Amino acid sequence: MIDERAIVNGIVGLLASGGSTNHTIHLVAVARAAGILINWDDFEDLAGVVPLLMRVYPNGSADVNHFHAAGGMAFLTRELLDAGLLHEDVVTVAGQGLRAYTQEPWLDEGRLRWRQAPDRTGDAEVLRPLADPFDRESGLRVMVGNLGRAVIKTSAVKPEHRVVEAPAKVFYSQQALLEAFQAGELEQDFVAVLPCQGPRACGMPELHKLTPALGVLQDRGFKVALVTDGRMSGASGKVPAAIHVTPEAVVGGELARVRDGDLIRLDSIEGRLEALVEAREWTQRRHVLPQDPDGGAMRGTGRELFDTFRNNTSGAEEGAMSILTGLDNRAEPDADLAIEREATREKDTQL
Amino acid sequence: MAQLNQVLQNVTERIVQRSTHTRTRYLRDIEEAAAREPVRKALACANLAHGFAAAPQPDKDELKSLRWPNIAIVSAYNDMLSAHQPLGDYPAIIKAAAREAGATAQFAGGVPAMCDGVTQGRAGMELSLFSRDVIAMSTAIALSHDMFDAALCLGVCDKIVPGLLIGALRFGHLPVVFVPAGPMPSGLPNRMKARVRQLFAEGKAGRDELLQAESESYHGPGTCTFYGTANSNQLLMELMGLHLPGSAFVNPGTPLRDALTAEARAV
Repeated sequence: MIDERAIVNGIVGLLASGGSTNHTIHLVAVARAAGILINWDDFEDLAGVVPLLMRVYPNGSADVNHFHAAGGMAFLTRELLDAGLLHEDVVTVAGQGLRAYTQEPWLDEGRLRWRQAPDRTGDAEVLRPLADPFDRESGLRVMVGNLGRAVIKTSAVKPEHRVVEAPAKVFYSQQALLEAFQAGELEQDFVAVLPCQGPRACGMPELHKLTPALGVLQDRGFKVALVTDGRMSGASGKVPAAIHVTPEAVVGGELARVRDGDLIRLDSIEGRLEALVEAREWTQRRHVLPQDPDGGAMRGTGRELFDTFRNNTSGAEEGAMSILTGLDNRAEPDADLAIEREATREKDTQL
Repeated sequence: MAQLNQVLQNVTERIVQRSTHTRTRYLRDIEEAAAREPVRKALACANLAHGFAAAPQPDKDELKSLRWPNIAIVSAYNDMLSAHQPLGDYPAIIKAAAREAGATAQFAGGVPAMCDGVTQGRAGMELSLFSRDVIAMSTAIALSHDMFDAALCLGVCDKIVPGLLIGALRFGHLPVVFVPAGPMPSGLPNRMKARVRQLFAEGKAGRDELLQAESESYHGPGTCTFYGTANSNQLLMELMGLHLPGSAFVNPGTPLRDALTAEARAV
């Protein structure tokens, strides 16, 4: 019963709610488990037509209980269905059609029943009708440029921070950045570039520990942004972050060409992610990866047991999957995606 | 039915086209598996007897007679994840509700669950993404015994739901319902918590103050209340039609939550 329409409904829900960036990976993986191939272009195209209807932390100050009280899922589902932004003709565990999900459960003297969602939102700071959205577009963008492809969630980023152009500071771990912060070395405009955080490098950790430090610097008036092939937590918010950069640095990704001081432009309005380095110099630069005394072997906290996963995982846009790699990931590779990427690459070279 | 948005329609058609080969193969796999059903009935007696040796007597009789459907419970219960702790009581609720409806339910297998809140910034975080694939594999192991006619997947947090779903989709011939536990009741507002974290990062707040704020924010059973990956999961499961309607954000330990959990067995 999970088919292409149900997957598209999932993407739409993620977008309308300003949901976690992790689902630009997980939904791809889930779809592949059902033989369905989606990519970030699908997210991007839908993001252009799906409005933002919900503001829950980190996109606002309310929590999910507040959202539920304001009308919750039933309200959200009805608004999207009525606008033709969800496929209604799907099979669900509740039977045929998604319309059943415009109802909410309640206990009628101990008996479970369902009733219609409220007509009006209980709190317009948390949940909005389609006619009056928080934003006409949902806050997720795909970024492309000479650094690769990335995603950014802008729903929690203030408009004045949505474009950042500043010199790069390259760190190979969260810890290194946090030490520089503690030492007072980051009191300036900069783009933090963290390569070697991808799935093959080290299992693609969330880098949420960076959020408070970068948030402090932003509050002090500096222009700051993050570019990494790692993940961020779904709770991350106000600092613009181009994440899941693919291909990741350790498999030839372009983040390995970035040097301290390179001017980086992160433009989440135009969807561009670029090192503003002269094209010839850029392509002639070597990829630099940090020296690893263990030769890439990760040890401790059980990480040594996961070498098979690291060695076999696909990239972020392919779901970062270390399973199903032979069956669905490699069969009939996305020919149209490959062509689009080639075109993007050529355009970048010309710039 | 409302007129479908044109872009939505185009994207969907593009996905269908792109997936022609992989989807056809998937559906063929599922059809082949469905054609073999009900597998339990074809199990040799020795195999089948292994499958219900420890079942309570009334369930055993029904399992022997092969009259009732048998539901697999696959759960990510553990005590450390606040979101998953309420799942501890669910199998008993589900088994009782199943009997009332004329079915047996067996706890088919546990899957691991890790908390990114605990491992954030630590080495354990480097297992986090791969734990999704381990969960998918664990789900497959639970369902691999050919003992079940349907499954209930119990999980909430970031990698758990995608992992359970990946595993369940490889058993696409079985009806599967996702059973959530719901969010923690509200505590210290998230914005206040973020402010104290930032003050701590600047050295303007002490560890005591920080731990106090964190504990007031994360204070009971249920999912963390911000809209991160876990709650995004719940919203997605609902819009993908895998939850009972409206069940994503009902708090744990409430009569409505228990009623929803019991109702899940009937679907």
